[in-house]
Amino acid sequence: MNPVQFGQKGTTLTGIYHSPRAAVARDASVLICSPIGQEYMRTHWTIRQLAIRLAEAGIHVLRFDYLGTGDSDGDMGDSTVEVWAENVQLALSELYELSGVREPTMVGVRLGAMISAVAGARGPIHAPRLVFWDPVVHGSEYLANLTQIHAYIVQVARLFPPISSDELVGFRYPHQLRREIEALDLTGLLAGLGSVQVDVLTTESRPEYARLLGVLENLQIKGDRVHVADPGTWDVPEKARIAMLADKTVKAVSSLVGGLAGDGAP
Amino acid sequence: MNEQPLFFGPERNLYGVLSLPDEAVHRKDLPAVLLPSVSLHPHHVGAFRGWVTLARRLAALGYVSLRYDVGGTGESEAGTRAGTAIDCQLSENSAAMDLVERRTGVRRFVLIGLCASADAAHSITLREPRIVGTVMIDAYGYRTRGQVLRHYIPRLLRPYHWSKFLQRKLGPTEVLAERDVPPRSVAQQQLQIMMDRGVQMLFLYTGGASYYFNHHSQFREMFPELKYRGRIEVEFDPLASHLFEFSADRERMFANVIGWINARDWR
Repeated sequence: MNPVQFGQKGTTLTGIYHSPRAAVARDASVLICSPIGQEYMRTHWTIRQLAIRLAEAGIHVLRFDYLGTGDSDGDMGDSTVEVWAENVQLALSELYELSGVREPTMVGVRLGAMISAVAGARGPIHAPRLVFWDPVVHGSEYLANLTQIHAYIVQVARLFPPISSDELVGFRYPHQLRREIEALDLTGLLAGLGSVQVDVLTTESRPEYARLLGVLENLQIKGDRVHVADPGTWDVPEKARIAMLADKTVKAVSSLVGGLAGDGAP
Repeated sequence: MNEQPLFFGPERNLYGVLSLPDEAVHRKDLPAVLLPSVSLHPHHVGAFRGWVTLARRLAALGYVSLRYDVGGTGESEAGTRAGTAIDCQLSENSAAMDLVERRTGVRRFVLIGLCASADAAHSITLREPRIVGTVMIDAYGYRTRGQVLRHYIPRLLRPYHWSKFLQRKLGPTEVLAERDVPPRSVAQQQLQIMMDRGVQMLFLYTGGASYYFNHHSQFREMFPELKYRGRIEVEFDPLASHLFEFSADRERMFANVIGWINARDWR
């Protein structure tokens, strides 16, 4: 594992590059697009385990923090989805510099799946394969879910009323960012992705996943559809502050990606 | 400010981010600040990214800091050397100080800990002469008569608390992690040793700890025989949650910690 920093002074992004185990190194790379806010904290250990597994299987892996998140520069309150999508493009470029692999796979977790799709639709670097892990399908539902969890936290805290109205579960989502997220619709982005493979891995049964799969089918976008009974419990307020240890899901994603990534790489 | 993410330690298993102030504000006579990860939010960015903000504000004032993951959490792997928990904490903290010293020449440190990390900060500070200051947030505490009266009397008089009591008995509630607290007399003796060595200490308690600490005067009730010599300050923020979940809580914590560090004469 090697820490990396890229981007410009003042907007520097920080990440961890996992070089592949030399004996089994392949011409394959994966960029992991993490969730944001408290879901970033919840999933950090799990995503790290996924990256280690993939690198063990011979794949170059980069995971990084968007601007205003983790160790990257800036504050989340000053960030926008557009900027995060640009960050993904920059990270793809960095991954190419590090690995030399031209056709990366992007694994997007929760809102990270949405951001990877926004970045994929924008270009210029093309990732021929996207893997959505419990993706946020509609930004409005995601915000409604966070609002419910936040209300629970306020109620449990009892004596600690929130002063700032732009917070959700410990992180700032100012008006502009909320408006951007609210307008996001993963199903609407799919047509703009061009020629891609989209794999979808879900851990819960939700109506929005069914809608997403339906749109993928209508658009004849190929890819694997995997369901793992290892619930992410994204809606459960009591779980919102507990680290997620999704071993079964990590195995499923690494099998999905590790078994196929790089097979078609130049 | 310049931030450097890196692996460090004899086994290179520990991960942290070194924050270096700009040359214009960097003062080499100031101690460096150590921010180990928090047990309930085991990631070096701190609960709700609080350590990142704190490190950057300290850098703007000229302080070097290192926020890092303790072994086996966040980006850090567990070390391979056998030992007790305190042995591990001491060797990891020592590795963090060695790194800062090597990179910046700073040889004195302020250690900040929250919850179980605050308990660890107590043990580490007792044994590590390079630590000249420590901030312990929701550290150990001992119920006193005053605390019990302040805690229970208002509750007995309010139907709301009876209903909450029943809810807690019937459903989930927030409970702080189980902690290994030294006996009061031992803690008092150890605090005296640290103070006699010249260590400056800030104890900051939140409303999240009010089930065992609920007034800043309680500290003197807990340790009546201590000779303070102006080296201990105590703050109680009844509105703040244990992990500073709301930004207003965090802002008050930053103000308390930075204000305290900046007001000390570290020369």
